Amino acid sequence: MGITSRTENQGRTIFINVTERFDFNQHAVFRKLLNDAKDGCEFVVDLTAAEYMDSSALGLLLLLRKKAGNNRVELRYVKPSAIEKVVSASNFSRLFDCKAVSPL
Amino acid sequence: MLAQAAADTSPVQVLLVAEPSLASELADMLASFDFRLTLRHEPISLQQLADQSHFDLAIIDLSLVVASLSGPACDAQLPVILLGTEAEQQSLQDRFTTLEPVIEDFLLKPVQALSLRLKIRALIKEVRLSRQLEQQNTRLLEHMANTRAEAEMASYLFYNNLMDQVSDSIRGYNRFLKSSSDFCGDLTLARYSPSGSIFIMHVDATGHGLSATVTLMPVVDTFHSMVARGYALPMIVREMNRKLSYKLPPDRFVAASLVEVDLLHEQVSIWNGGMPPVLLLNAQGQKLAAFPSRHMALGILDNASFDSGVERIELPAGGGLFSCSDGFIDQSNAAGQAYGAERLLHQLATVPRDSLMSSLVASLKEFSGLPAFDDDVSLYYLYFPELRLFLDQQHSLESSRRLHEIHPFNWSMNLFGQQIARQEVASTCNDLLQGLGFPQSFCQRAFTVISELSNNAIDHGLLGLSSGLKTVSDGFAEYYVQRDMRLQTLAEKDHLRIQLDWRVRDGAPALCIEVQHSGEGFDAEAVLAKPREELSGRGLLLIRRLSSSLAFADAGRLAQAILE
Repeated sequence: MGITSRTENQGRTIFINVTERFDFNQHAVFRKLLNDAKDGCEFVVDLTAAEYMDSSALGLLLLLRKKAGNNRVELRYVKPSAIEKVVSASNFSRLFDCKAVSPL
Repeated sequence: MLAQAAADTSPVQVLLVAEPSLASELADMLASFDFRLTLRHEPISLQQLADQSHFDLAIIDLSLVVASLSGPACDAQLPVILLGTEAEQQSLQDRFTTLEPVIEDFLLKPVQALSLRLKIRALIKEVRLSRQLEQQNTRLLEHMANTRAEAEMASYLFYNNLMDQVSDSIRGYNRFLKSSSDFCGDLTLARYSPSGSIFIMHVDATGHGLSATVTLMPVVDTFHSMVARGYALPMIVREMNRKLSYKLPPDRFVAASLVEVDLLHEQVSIWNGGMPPVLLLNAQGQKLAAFPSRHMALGILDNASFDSGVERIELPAGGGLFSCSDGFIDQSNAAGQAYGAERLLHQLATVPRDSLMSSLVASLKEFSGLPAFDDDVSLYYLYFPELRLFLDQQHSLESSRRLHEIHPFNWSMNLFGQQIARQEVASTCNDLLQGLGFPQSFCQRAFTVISELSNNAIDHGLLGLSSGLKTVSDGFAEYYVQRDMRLQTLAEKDHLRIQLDWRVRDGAPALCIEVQHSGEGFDAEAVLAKPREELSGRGLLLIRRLSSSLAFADAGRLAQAILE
């Protein structure tokens, strides 16, 4: 439930998994995760199990992008889904490496 | 500012009431404790005990308590450890006494050092905890009072600074705003530009409440000042983004849609970054077209990657534009369904236009079944025919009689080099004409003519830009990039002169506007002889429509327009 994370690739890739609602309530956990992350990491944010995302969540993704610097940030989500709608309406696909997957 | 309450480290105060010998014996037992002991050898009454509230606890030899043990209960606030004989303990046990509410424990004499110490240790711990709790409660109350005061302040700012009354005076523009808390992260405003264009801004800041409202301030300031100075939509959007991207923290941004309705050029421009689609409706409220978000919200991208390109359509005769924030479409009901775009389109085509705002809001309330909405909700409808009618009425209302009352004047300004790049000629002239008492509609015409003529003089005459660039796709962006670059090369030899001359000509007062430059001229006769549709490139068609005469001299470097 909420946010979980793991690292791969000798700690250079951080996987962040968000389930259910991605909104302001995840703010503290997400920020701590970013603060703890080493510089020079790439990120994969898995939203395939998330059901909802609001503008605060988009703000958190912007923070993550800033943390990543020039490194890759990948967003994974189901298409079609509520998440996909938010990502496309906000044109965030221009800032992130987006991977839309088909529903199971 | 909230003063951080210092943690209370003052020693625990203990009152010991006993005969001198017993008292010193007890004091020795408790020597290892960190508290302040006050000795009293005289008897103590219940009333006196009730007055000892500055003590945290009391140890009292029952033989020194002056009280009938029946009567009203003792209302002392401090816990008391009684010391007494077995017989005394028995008498307290048999019936309720006035002392009972304050008795924390009863220790038999002779007092065992260990049981006294354990008891005292537990009580001191309790006293410290309850003190801490009390302090935290006080701080929490202060915090709450502060938060409330700040909420009121922000609410005041919102309603007085951001929600201007000017917007409500623009006929043909109707809006609705409802915040989910004391303040709103949504806002929509409308303003007339000096040329008579109507600008509409619709924004939705990240999050809700105070922090969302605060992020709107720079947007609103930019909107007001740039619209008032006659800037074009792409420049306004670009400046809003620039300001927000350095003023806001990285996780904050503002979704926005901006619209300009240019009644003179019969053109509507739309820029949408992160808002739901702006809808073009026909007279029956049916959707003709949608302008979805093609850009990122404001405050995310740096100036170089930001795209200020707008979509343009010809101003339709009927119908209007509708826009709402996502709080409207995403509002869900008890079953977890969202209101949705389909339902919105159906409502738009069903409810009467006169009561569009209230009908839509009523429909949303009925759908959600809730007294308040989950998110801030804002919407507006811009009805084209009413905008037009209002503009025409304004023109006819301001009678030519007023123009006759304005006495003659002559004003001119000569600009050289970089001053040409820095000055906003049309805006300066507009301020001047307003100060001289010209009616609004006349100022709007003059503003448009002056801005067309001075832009022609600068862009084509001094900078040598080709308007052909603007006709190809992406040409607009390229045009402005080149324009910015060439403006920096203007040197002192480059000259722009503008003159306004107001006096009676042929029996009627008229304003003669002259704009002259030192750059490349053009074959005015050949251009003016072209068919009407080809003139639009240089705005000459528009100038002709607004003025009673347009002439060129000095090989096309001097333009002269007369307004009556």
